[in-house]
Amino acid sequence: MKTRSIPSRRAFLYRAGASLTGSLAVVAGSAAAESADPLAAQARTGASEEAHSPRTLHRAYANYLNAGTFDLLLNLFSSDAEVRLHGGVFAGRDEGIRRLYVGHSRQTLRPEPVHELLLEHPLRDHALVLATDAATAAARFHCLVRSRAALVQDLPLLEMARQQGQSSVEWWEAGCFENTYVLTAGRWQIAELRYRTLGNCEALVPHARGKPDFVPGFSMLYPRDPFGPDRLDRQSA
Amino acid sequence: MSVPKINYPKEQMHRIRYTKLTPQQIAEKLAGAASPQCVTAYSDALSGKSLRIVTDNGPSLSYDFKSKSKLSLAVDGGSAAHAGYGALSLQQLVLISHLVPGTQTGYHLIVDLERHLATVFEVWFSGYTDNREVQRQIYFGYLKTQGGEPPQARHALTNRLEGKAYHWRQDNGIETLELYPSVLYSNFIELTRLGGELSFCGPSDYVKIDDDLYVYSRVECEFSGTMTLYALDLNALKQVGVRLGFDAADALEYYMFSGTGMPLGQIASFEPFDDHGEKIVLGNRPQPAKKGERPVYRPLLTNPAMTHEEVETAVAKHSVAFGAPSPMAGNRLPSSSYLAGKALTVRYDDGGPVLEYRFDSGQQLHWRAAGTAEWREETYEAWEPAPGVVFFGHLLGGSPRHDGVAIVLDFENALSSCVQGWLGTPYMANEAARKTWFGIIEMPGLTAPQYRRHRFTDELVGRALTWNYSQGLTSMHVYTTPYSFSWIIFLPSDAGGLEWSGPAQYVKLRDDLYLFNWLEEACNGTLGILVINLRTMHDCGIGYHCGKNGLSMSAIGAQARNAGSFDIRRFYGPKQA
Repeated sequence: MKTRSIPSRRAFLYRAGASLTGSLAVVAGSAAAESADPLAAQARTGASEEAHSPRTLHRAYANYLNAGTFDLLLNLFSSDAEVRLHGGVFAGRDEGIRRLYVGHSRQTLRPEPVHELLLEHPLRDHALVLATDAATAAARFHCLVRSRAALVQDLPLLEMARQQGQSSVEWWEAGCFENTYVLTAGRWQIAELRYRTLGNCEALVPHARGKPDFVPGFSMLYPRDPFGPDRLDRQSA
Repeated sequence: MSVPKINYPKEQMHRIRYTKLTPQQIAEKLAGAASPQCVTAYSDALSGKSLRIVTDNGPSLSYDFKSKSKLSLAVDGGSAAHAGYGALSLQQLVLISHLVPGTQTGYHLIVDLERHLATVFEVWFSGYTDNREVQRQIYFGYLKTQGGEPPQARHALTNRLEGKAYHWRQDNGIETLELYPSVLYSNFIELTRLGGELSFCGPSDYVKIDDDLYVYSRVECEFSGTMTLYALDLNALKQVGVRLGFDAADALEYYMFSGTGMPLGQIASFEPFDDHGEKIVLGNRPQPAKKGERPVYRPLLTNPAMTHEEVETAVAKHSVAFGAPSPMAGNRLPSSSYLAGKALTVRYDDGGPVLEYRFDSGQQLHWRAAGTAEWREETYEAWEPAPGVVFFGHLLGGSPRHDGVAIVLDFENALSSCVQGWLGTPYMANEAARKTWFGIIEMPGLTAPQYRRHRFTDELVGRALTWNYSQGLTSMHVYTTPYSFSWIIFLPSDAGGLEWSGPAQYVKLRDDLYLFNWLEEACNGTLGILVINLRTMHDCGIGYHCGKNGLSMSAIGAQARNAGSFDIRRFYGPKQA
């Protein structure tokens, strides 16, 4: 496939999005220039504005993920899309991907305030390449993810911790999306979303109590796990 | 011969069924309390003077001290109330305490005559489900002077007392050990009132006046609800204080006291060095906003007691040994298969159990009580906490009390110790009880000693160890008395947070190796049994617990750090005249 690079790579240093299943995830890229583009405003818009380019599509993904508007998030995927996340492959927008976001995430996330932090951080090596037919594209977005995994076990110590506001384990991690996109009827959609953790960023949160491996990867397939993946994927574990 | 004696209570605090007093009953009891009692003569430092205390985000209090026992108070310019009061001085501080007649409210004031500052504890009854529990709201402010500019400084919350401990002897003869291992809670060991057997915990406040002077308060939440508050001088080792509440017989305790202290050491604190504790940040939990609100651990609220029938139903529904991995065992020792293929008998003294074992594998065993024919199969887990020592546990299937055992096998000495746990106490059906047995191992190649045994010890008493179980789950143990200990959960800043206590036992296995168990009585009913190796600073252990989800025996494993020690062992020996 012949490709050409998108010249304005800097544009992709803005917000990127990520999710960790079984955890809360809030995303920050190096976003100084994006203050006039509040995420909340985008969340209220329809899909048409999001579909101008893979870049805006990816920003919308981060937007919806942060806002927890998973139903809107689903509209960003093509019907036969796949998500590779946390050791699982979720196939099909209306089946596996819906199960991941609307089922799993909504079920496991807790109604707790998550304070979004935007950091000036030198995230580089973003890339977007378009196929020559301009109908498909591949992109890599680096990002910083603030993750919070709820402590849900029924343990006396955890109950005490919950009562003093420690109902979760938090960490920052560096992550990378390697996505592919497809242009359908003039509208970009996510064909495949792959997220992998590159490591945690202890320097950013010196008192973070968790690390990216706090939440074990998916290990049980659907339907044995009602919110589980269709296949396992070691590369994204 | 006059024999002095300790009047041990019939029940320790966590077992007393304190009366749920009604607001009306409390009002009647307060009606007769004109002013606090005190052994020491009250100060007349304020007699004939007037003070106007202006607080930040709180009331303005206008006082006229008509004598050293009578005052009038107008709140926010309202009509004056007349009350009896007591005042005690400590350096430049005057501690004043009074109730407001006709109400269930009172004030404890710490007035700083040197810097013209004041800390106001407004206190009241009937502000929580348990009406007898004293509620408090702290206001920081200043003394308004004519023509003078309000001072900018304030007394403030602090972590500067965190890690300290004192022996206090009040002027009325009451002796206590008081440990401050947290910024939210404290430990108190009542040497006089309760005989110093167990430590207890209460939500506490720590206020810094200056580098020498502080204010401490606690409320005995979940017990009598009594408040103890005092100002303390760290250099002079003096205190002046007040106690307000209802005792186990529901009699009003309202007295002021002075006292002398003895420092008992300092354990480590873990917050960042430039964190001085002026704000207590509570993670995801909203900061207390309502008057009197504070984090309080109420174990029976979150772990309601179960009936015997509920326990039987829960156990029948789910009973598991060493099932799913637990966050309490994230840093566990590797499981040991040392016992696989072996057969042995453990024989315990004094009528204790005699158990025969055949270890089929590293996870399955057969056991039977000596003299019985039937072998029972159980799942077990074993660890090697020190060379030559194996620690394992399993449920005793078929036991009507749903017993479990945690057994130390000391092959070097042919000794064994066993903590046998079961469900049900006279207080709660889902609460574990336990008996510790000492004995020997019988197996080919081992000759057991006749007299030597592992034995109870107080060597750990006073020490503090942090235990990191897994990511996000770290606590600190403070081994507070020979018969109890406390555990503390760290706040997001790593300052000490919520704390609770339970009865405990300490057994010395060998130098730096201990078998430790505790009961979360009047709490969730858990029995925990650990082998603590102070050389490796690692433990291995077993939790035995019954809740609404059934009976479980699960692994515990954590890595330790030394947090220091308190010099308190000397207070726990048998008393002599």
